[in-house]
Amino acid sequence: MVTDRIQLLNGTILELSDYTIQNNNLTVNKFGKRLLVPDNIVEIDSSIYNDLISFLSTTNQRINPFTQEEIYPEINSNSSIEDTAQAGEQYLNYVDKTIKERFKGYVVSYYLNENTRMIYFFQKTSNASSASIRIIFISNLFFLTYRNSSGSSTSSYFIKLTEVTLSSKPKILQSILDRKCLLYIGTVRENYGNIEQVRFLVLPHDFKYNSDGKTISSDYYYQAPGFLQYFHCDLDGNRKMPLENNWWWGDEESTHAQRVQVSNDRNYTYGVFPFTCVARADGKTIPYVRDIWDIIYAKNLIEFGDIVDDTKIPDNPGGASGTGGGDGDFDDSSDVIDIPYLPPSYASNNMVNFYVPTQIQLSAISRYLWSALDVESFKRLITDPMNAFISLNYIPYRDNNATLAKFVVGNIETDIDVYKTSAQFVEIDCGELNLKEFWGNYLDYSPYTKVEIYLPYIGVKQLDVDEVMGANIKVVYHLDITTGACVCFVKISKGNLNSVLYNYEGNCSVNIPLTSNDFRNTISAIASLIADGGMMVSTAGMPSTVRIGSAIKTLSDVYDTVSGGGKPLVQKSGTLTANHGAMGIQKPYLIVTRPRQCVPAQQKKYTAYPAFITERLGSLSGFTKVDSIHLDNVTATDIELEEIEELLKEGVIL
Amino acid sequence: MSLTIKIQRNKSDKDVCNKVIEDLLVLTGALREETSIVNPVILIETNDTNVFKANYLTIDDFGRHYYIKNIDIVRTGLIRISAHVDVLMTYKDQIKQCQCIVAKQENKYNLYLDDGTFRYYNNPQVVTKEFPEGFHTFGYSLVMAGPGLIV
Repeated sequence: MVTDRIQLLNGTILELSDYTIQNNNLTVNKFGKRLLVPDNIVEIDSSIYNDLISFLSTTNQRINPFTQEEIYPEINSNSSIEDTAQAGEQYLNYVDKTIKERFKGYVVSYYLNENTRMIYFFQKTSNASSASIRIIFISNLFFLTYRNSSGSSTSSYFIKLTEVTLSSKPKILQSILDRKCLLYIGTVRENYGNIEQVRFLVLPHDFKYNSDGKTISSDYYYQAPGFLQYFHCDLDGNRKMPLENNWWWGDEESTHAQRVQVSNDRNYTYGVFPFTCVARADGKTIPYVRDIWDIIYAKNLIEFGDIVDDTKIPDNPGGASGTGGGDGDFDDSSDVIDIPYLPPSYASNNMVNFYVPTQIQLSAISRYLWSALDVESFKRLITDPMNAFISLNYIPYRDNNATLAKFVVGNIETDIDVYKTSAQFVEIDCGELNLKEFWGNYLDYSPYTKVEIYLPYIGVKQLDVDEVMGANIKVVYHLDITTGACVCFVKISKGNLNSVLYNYEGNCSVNIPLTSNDFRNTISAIASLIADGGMMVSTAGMPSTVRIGSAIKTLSDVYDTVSGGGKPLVQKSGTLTANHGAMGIQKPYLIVTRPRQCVPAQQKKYTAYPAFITERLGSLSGFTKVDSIHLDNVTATDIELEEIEELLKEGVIL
Repeated sequence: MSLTIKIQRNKSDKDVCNKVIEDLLVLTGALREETSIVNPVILIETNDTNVFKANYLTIDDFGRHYYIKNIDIVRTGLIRISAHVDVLMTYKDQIKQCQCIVAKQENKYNLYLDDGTFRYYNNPQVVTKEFPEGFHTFGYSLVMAGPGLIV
């Protein structure tokens, strides 16, 4: 019966082995959901089919189409909870009984749960060698019980059944895929045998609940061609319907659907809607059965697609050009690149000793070196005692965990107690800032807004505003207290992103010269920094004639598109390390340069705002400009059609 | 061909699909000369001066609404009205059934789409945001050679 190889839109190939039919047992096991067809099933013929459709189509009218008897009593907004429940039970029993009795032998499978009735059956098609599984929803399972604001009134509604046959579904699904959607729920309304409308609920990968934790934003709703109503529902275990606005179940133009208006003053207790799908391609049938709960919980968009005809061999041996693209995996996960651990210290290797002396301790050391060194001690030094001093730096850090130890020069242990440390690398956490959008539109991003960061001992660096806008920006320094070398990590957290995006190096030690030779080296190092473009003005002890670096570059260097284009890019600092950094600002800060938006009053009324969405015009109101439209079913002359399209593109008020 | 023409006044903007129309005069007559249904030119005989207040007309037999482009007085009591079809009003119901890609919309929009809608002054705003912490203290770091032990 099943002869085709089927390629799903996600690329999965369904082989014949995915379907087995033996002794009238059809098993669809590709997706882990098995549908067993009983032995006694026979293909349904058109008269039975029409009979069944007719029956199902009238179940919502409370009249048995065959006996013309009323099925259950009238239920209205004044009915009690008990009456409502009883009516619902009677209705469902009636459907149960009728299906089982009248259509016995034709129904493949009959699903029943608390609120949903579904039947599966075979229908003959024009191709005698195949059959399709059709899934019918007996009551389009909107069994809704609600209470009004006073809590005194309840009622139930039974909406018409729906036949699900999606002839245009692959195209729609592709749209869903293009929108990076995760899953969908769809129903199709049947109108006199012709499928007219499709509705889908689509959730993108990153969908989030509203603040109530129950509902989802209407932005996530995708409207398939020909349909204009929103359908709100959340997916939590309670199946609680959200209350956003009054909404309608049904379509204005529908002649079949019972229309139910629900106001905001009601508290829904539950509501369930059915959804599944079955496809029938042109001239062929594609059996496909899937339980919606599988779809929801699998969170995996697996669907049928076009039939692959692999018997065709291209005329061009090199292969004709083909279509492609759109097959990304939509994996927007991001690995956390965290601030690294501090490296191990080599302070305890006995080759060197690290001290973090106080001012007083340093003075004591100085006095010892210049006056207290006796002849015996001098002999034990072997060489010049100053050679034992590797470096003395002034650093922006004080180790509060250092312990007192006797100061050692070469082989001489002095009587001076000096703080000694084993922590060579330390972390300075500058905290984090949240940079929020100001305008809430594209002006908050590049190339309009510019974000720079001032980092002590490093200078001013430019950040990519697209990366940092709306993000938490964390600044952490790792500092080597022996040399003053530091690395600054700027970690950005936004959405899935939680990583260090920027690393800058600097030096934060002020070298204190111990000898005249050291002093010359220090001056030389400072002068070298300035010559490299440093902007700090000369400091005490430095020659006043030292030329500072160029603060503003030439026009050809600095014009770029940042800040709206054509704005000069001014370098706000040079290299702010070492001596300069110690005299600089000690806290990092952001410099945000944003455009000042110019919006005339009621601009959206006159020019509207950018949308680029697919909508039915009837679902819109207000000023609307159309990008692209097909004027199907507009019975105007050619000249009129051209004028309509032109007017819609210029903007009309709906 | 017998025609009923509603001479009307339109108070809505030309861009509005569903216009607010006020009937001024209803005339019945026959079409004696050929005319376009898109750009009809119609001679009417009336002494009702309300016709001069009109800017809109509807011919149900044509199934169309029209803007009045011009009114010529041929002679006393005989008026020539030149009109052009209002496609938006005429086909508004069918147009509303059409699905389209909406470029700009008054009520449904996404402000992160950069299509130049928002303009800005040339004097940007500059603000600074300080991080909560920084370098607070200073100290000395002294590195000495040697094992630190007296041999």
